[in-house]
Amino acid sequence: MNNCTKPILLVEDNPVDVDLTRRAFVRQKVSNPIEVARDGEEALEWIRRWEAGADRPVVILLDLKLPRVSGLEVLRQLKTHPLFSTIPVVILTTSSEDSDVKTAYELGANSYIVKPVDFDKFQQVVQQVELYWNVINEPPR
Amino acid sequence: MTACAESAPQAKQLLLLGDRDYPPVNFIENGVAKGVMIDMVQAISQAMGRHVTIELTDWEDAQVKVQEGEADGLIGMSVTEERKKLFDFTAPVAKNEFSLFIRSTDTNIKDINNLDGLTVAVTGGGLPRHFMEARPGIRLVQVDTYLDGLRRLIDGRVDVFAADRWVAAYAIQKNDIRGVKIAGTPFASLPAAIALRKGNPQLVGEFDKAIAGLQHNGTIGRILDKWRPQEMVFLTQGRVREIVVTTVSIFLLLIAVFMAVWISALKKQIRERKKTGEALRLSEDRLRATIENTPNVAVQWYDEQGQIQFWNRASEHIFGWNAQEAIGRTLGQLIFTPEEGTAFRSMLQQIKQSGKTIGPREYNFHRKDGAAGVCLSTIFGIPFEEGTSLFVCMDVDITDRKQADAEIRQLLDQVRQDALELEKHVAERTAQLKAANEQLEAFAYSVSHDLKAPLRGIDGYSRLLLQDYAPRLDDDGRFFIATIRESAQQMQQLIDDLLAYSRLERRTLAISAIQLPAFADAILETFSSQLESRGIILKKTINPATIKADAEGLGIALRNLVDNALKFTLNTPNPVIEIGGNETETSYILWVRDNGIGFDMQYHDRIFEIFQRLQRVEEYPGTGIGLALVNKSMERMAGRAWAQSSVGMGAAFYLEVPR
Repeated sequence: MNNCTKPILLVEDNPVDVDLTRRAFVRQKVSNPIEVARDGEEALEWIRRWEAGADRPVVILLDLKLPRVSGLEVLRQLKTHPLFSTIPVVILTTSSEDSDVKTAYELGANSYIVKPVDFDKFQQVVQQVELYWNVINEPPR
Repeated sequence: MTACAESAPQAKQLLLLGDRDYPPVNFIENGVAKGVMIDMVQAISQAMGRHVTIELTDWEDAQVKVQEGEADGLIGMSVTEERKKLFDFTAPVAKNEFSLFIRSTDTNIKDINNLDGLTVAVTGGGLPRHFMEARPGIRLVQVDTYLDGLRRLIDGRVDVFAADRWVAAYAIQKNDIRGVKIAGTPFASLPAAIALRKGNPQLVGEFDKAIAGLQHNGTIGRILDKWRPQEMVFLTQGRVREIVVTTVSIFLLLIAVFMAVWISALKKQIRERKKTGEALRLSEDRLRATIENTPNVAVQWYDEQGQIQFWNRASEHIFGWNAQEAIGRTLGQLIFTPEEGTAFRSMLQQIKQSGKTIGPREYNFHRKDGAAGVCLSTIFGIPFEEGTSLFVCMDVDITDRKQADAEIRQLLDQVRQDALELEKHVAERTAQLKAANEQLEAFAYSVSHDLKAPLRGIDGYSRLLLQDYAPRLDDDGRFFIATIRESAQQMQQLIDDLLAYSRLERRTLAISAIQLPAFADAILETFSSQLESRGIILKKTINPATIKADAEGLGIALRNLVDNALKFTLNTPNPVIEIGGNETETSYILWVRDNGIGFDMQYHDRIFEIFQRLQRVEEYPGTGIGLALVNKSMERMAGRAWAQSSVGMGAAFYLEVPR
């Protein structure tokens, strides 16, 4: 199975961030399709789709501050799901609050990244994310 | 002189002779023969049934007459062996004792054996003469009568009168003779019997039979007894008198002493009673005066009907009624309602029955002027005249205190209500503060998220513009974009600082023991490369100590001060940074001193405010958050931060951590 055809799920309500993230991925030559959930509810809908047989993502980039259902709630449901708890979740947020970091890791987040304002730095983050999921999703030889 | 006593006329008459002057054995008194022997012979003659005539005469003549046959016998003769040759003796009827009579002042003569050279008187014909004649050393003087002998003894003409004890004693008593006593025991004791003319044993037998009968039926004993008391009295008359006088004297003396003692005791008792009485009266006066004048304690006495008997000045003062008005009336008529007065009276009865004290209890009353009052009273009973009781009541006026209590209670209620309201206010304010805090947190959260998102947009698209469209832009265009990006970065920094500041304010303190200088060393370690690369001389003078502080807060403060020192020595040649610490009595003071640009002391307060800058950002970059963070973190652990400086002379920043 080719990792590059599998989608990346970006849970992000800010359209500017969605666009910049897409562009950053493109510039880092990541070819996976990027699915976007614009709030927590949409993210939960995606879980139901995967249950129904849709392709599950190679990685989920999850913002915390989301309309309606919060990012932490989405994270909780994902990480307690019998089938999808193994999907790597990278928290990509502007919050550097200790409490958020702590809660996210407690709920099972695989990584926590504070979004840099500087676009150059953001591109580096994206590169690391790509390296990260490629490593963890490498099939056993 | 002769006298005769005749017995019952029977058979042959007998004539018996006796000594006319031998009382109480036989003697003549008022012409009649009397004596123990007279009674004896009369009893014997009756027993024999013979008529016996007794004739008392001179004793020597009598003896001669019997021997010559002129009479039949002699009465009351002491029996001796010599006389037995001359007479036939009947059985003894009595016992004659002979003693030495001497002057009572005489102490030398003890008995018959030390009479040598002394003059001894004796009567004629008696046994004593016979005894004395046998002792040649004695000068013997014969006297006619016993009285004569005794008188000579008292006169001192003779030293001793030897005589029948019974007879002499009788004479002594009869004649009231004083100053005579008996020396020792009798020198002779002989049976006395009736001496009959020799040669008529039949008559002796007749006499003996009668005597035996009289002995047997106790007649002889009775006759002796009849006369013996007289003998005893006579014998001891003088002595008896002395004894009586002595005894009476002693008795009187004793009575006198006793009376004296008793009188003295009585006097003392009277004196004491008098004293006690006076003391009692004084004591009562004092007590009464004390009670009368005791301020603030009203004292009254009541009888069993509740009538006032005593009313002291304090009672007047407290209740408004004076003693004259009060005495004889009841409380129901003065300060109580009639019902209260009745209740008071029944309480007195209760006290009388139980014997217990009632109170202290509070009672409401009305003064004479109608004002209401409260007193604290104690009432008890004391026994009084004829089984009645007197009741003592003591009151303290607590009207003012009660009013004060009421006021205090009211005030307390008010205070309590105020406190409740305050508490409510505090709770409300706390809730408001909590809400505000939550809002602040939400605000900070929003700031970090929402303000940064557009910044990312600005920076991201500027970057994309620069990357993708740079060839189409001239230098100005590229400068603009670079400035846009720089501004975005600055804004991001401001937002981050603001968040850091707000986080510092919201975070929970964690006070722990901090070891100095180790704690400071660890912080300085993070600056080591910077210090080294800039060639800064670091001086450390931190005195070792263990302080209690919030480690993170203190770390932030110290780090910012070092940052500050590094920043403001950027353009200083030979930069020196000194970090010191010292303990004071109440705190520990840390300081960071540099030889940098310093500042004007007029701004020493402003520099600790958030986003306050004294330098232009191009020269010394920064948002002006550092010292605000220092100030905030010290404030939170009840410490403080301050600075000392002058322009161009470097600056010193101090942190004080309380103990």
